[in-house]
Amino acid sequence: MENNPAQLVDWSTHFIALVFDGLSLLIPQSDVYSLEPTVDIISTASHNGSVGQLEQSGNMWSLYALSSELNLLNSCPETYHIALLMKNVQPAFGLLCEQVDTIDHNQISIHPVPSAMKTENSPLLALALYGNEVRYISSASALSRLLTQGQI
Amino acid sequence: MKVSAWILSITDTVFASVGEFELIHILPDIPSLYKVPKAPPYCQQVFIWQNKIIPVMNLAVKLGLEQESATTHRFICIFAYRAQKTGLLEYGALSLNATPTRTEVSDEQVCKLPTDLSPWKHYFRSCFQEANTQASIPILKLECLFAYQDGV
Repeated sequence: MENNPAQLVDWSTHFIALVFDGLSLLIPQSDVYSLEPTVDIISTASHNGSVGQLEQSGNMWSLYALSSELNLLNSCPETYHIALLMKNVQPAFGLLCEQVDTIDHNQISIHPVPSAMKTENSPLLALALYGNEVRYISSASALSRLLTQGQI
Repeated sequence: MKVSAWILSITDTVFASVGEFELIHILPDIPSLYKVPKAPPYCQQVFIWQNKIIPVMNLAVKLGLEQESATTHRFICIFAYRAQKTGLLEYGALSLNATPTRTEVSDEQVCKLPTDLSPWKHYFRSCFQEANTQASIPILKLECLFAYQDGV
């Protein structure tokens, strides 16, 4: 926890910005398998914190919805219309969001999460300055750990 | 020999102090604050200052003097310190009840830490009795205050 992940990680050249519940979360584009509309979501009884599943390329992806506090939601808000399917992580999962955008690495400056703000259960790897605003950087594996904790 | 210090109002009745050159800026206005998900309750917001991301700590919550961070900040002051691990200059901010006041302190003013702050003695260098009010004023060890807290 005391190392500075912002300096240790070889960041992707592009990020996908997921917007949900007022939060803009940046995920390395290299962690993203695809973006899908939510019209094909199979609603399932939540046994693992997911709000549904999506079949893509012969695989089932559990889909999760998060609040701006990065807490798991029990149901998918109506405004979450896009599913971001992750890769480089097992089991595969997707995050639901309201909007997505792409951001180049050179559009942001990456800063470590201040030491006083680090917690064991945080999926945030770094903060980013994007113009005059702050964004939050995570990854598929870091979010996967958060989702695993949510199932306990 | 007397040295200059700043007295900081943590609550209406609890004060702390820092050395003259540790306080580097008093913000004239409350800046745009960004809430960081999963951050500890005493340090949940950051702001942008000179292209840096500065964490804002509510010392009253950190020291158990208040339960929750106040939704509004009255004054925000920026402090500089050398990080324990790296020795690099870092910055952190405290939200305060009032603007800091200057004082002069000598070795003869040293006193015991107030009992209610003794569980937090690792956050203080020492304590002195303020000449005018006779109040016990602990001297903050900023590099410990803004360090990562294991187990949060």
